[in-house]
Amino acid sequence: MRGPVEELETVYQNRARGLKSSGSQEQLDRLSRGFEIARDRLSDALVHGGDPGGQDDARQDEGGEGLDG
Amino acid sequence: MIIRSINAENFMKFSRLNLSRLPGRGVIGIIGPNESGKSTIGEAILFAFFGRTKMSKECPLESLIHWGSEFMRVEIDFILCDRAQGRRQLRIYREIDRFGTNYAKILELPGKEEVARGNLEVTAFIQGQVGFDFFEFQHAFYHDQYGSRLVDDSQREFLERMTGVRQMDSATKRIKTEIEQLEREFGHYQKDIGRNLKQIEHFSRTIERLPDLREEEERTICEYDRVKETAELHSRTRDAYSGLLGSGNSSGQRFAQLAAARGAQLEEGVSSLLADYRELQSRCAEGELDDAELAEGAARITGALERTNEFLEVYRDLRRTFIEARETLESDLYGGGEGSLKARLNEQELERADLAATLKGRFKWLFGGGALFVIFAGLAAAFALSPGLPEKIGLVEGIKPAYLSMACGVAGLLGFVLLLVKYVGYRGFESRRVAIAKNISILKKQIQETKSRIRDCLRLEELKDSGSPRDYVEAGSEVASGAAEKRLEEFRGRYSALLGMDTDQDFGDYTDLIRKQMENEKSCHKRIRNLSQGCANKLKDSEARMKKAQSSRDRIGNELREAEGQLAKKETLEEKVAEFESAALKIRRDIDDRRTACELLQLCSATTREKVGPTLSSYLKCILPRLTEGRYRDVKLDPELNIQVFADDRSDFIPAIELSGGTNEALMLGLRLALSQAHVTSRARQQQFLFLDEPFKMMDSTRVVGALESLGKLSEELRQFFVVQPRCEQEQVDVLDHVIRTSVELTKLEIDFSSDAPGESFDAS
Repeated sequence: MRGPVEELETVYQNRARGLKSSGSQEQLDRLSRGFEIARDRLSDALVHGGDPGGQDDARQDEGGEGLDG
Repeated sequence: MIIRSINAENFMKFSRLNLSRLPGRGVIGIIGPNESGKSTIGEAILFAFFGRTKMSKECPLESLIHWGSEFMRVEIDFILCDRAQGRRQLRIYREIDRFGTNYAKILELPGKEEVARGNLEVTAFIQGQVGFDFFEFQHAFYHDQYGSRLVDDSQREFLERMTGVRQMDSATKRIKTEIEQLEREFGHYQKDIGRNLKQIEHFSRTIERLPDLREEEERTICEYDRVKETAELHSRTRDAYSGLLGSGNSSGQRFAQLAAARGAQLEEGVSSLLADYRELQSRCAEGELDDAELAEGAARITGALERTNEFLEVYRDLRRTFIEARETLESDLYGGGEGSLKARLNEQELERADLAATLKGRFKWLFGGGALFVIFAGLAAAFALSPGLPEKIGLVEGIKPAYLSMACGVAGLLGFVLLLVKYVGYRGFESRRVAIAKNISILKKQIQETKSRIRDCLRLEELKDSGSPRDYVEAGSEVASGAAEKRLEEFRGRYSALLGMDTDQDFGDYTDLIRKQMENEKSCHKRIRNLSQGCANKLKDSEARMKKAQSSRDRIGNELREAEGQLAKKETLEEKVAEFESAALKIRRDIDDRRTACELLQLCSATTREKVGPTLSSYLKCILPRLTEGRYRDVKLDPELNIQVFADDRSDFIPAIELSGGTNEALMLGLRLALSQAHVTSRARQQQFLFLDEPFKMMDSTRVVGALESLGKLSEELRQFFVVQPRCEQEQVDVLDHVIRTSVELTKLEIDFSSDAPGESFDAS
């Protein structure tokens, strides 16, 4: 099972391959820029554990009390 | 992450817990009765890594401190197989006292270099370097004895987080928020652009009139300049006429004064008036004073004044002749040269004085010579007459008297000659003296006459300021002589002609001519007054028209300036619009990029969701037969983690809920192990331990043995298992690789596993 970023890269490369044969350079560029943004935001979300609010709630529900930072 | 040792003090049940050199591979059974501290070991792991435990939900962390102690600490050595840094042995240390004061740190072994300090750094290190947080850990690697026997939302959430779907959704949500923000920004720009375009359109309507306004402004300026020029012309003409009126009044007086004026006053008056009327005539000729009648009057007066001036010029020449004559007389009389009368008189007088002195000297010589002659002549006569006389008087002895008489006679003769010579000279000087005396007399007479004539000339000159030219001529005829007399005669002959009068009218005078011009001057003055009044009226009209033209010009100018201002504003707005459009275009591109990013993430999320089921199913298919003694082999897992198991007896997939309790427990354990494997594969990517707290409650012994046997063979990554079992039969113990036994009474648990697992190695996956 691939990691999220690798999965995203795979999706991007598949789309890029499709566009290279039928799409324009503009679409390719846009896809490239979109991929950069998506990867950046996803990496950020991975570092911060996705949804911090939901994560905290889950911790409280599942793990109980923790030490304050 | 593989745990190498667990060292705790005053943690829950244990006053001391020391499990050192834990084997890195295999199943470590933790066996003991209830309340003997089996799960405490798992809680110690949770506390060390995350600062919280499963128990801490119900009670504060401080309550976990061993009874009677003031603090607790947990220290765990573990191994990380980091791809970047290779194998790392670390130690995590955490402590807390009864007041809640806590401290945590992570050290790099063997040098014990601190790599993280404090809860924040430690938490960040665990999440970043180890690859999970509390939530993920307890779902992936900590099998809770109180866990649900069914798939619940928490597991689904874990699955989403583990696979990155939740992060993808979070990233998608964040990008959508950015898109909304950009859309709002784009909307603002569009609104600004629309407002500016509307303003530009409004300005354009005014700006379209610019060429017409410029043309109209030029026209109004020309009109204004023309009217202004006319007004200025009228103003100048009026000022000129006003000036003339002022000077006209004074001209009348000046003409009256001039008629009685004499000498220099007369000449200056005529010159001044002539200059004024010449200027007037010139201004008429140049068109400044465009009036024929005035020009004619001015010409008449100018002509008369010119004739008077010419007459006065000739009169002045005449006077100058007399002055020159006087100056000549003065020069003859007093001139610096030897030829002047005075000089000559002085010279003669000096010469006469010299002669008088000479005559005096000559007379002495004449008297001496006469005396010598008389004396020696008498002596000669006496000696001749009386030869014995010398002897008588004893004058000379031995000298003959004849000789003596002869000598006296010679001496007397010499005296006579001397007398004669001196007399002749004396007479010559005397005649010279008489001649000089005569010359002196003549010179004195000439001087007197010259002085008299000079006085006459001076008296004549005085007449130029007190008398008329006619008086001057009459007086001049009495004293004139030579060139002056000739000029006087000429002047007398031209007198009337010079004044432009009939030559027969011998009585004519310049005053008549001047008086005649006074009438002309009055006529001119009247004409000038009328013209001045006319000009003033024209000026008034011109000024009114100029005011109107100025108002029109100013109005057009204001409109033009307004239009030009709007043109500048329009250009600025157009620049602004271009700038906004560029910014909006960039924002639109950013929005499109982000939409593409969203599409990619959503596609990736969907793809991942689609893959989750098959992936976990494949893991589960490997584990499930071992956990169910081969009874169940096939399983289906959808993205929502709904499990269906293939039942051979039904030849179909059935929901997990229909399975027995033991099978369901085995299925859940299998799912947990599948999730662990998936997490390791996709995220942690290293060797990992698992803590399974009483995972076989409902399973029979045979299945437990099969499960324990299969744990160590699951994968290369999942290699260290802590399995808590309250009751463990011998056949189960036999399949365990290592055993930790706990008892209710023991508060200290210290085991060194070094002898159990010599030479094992850890590899980075």
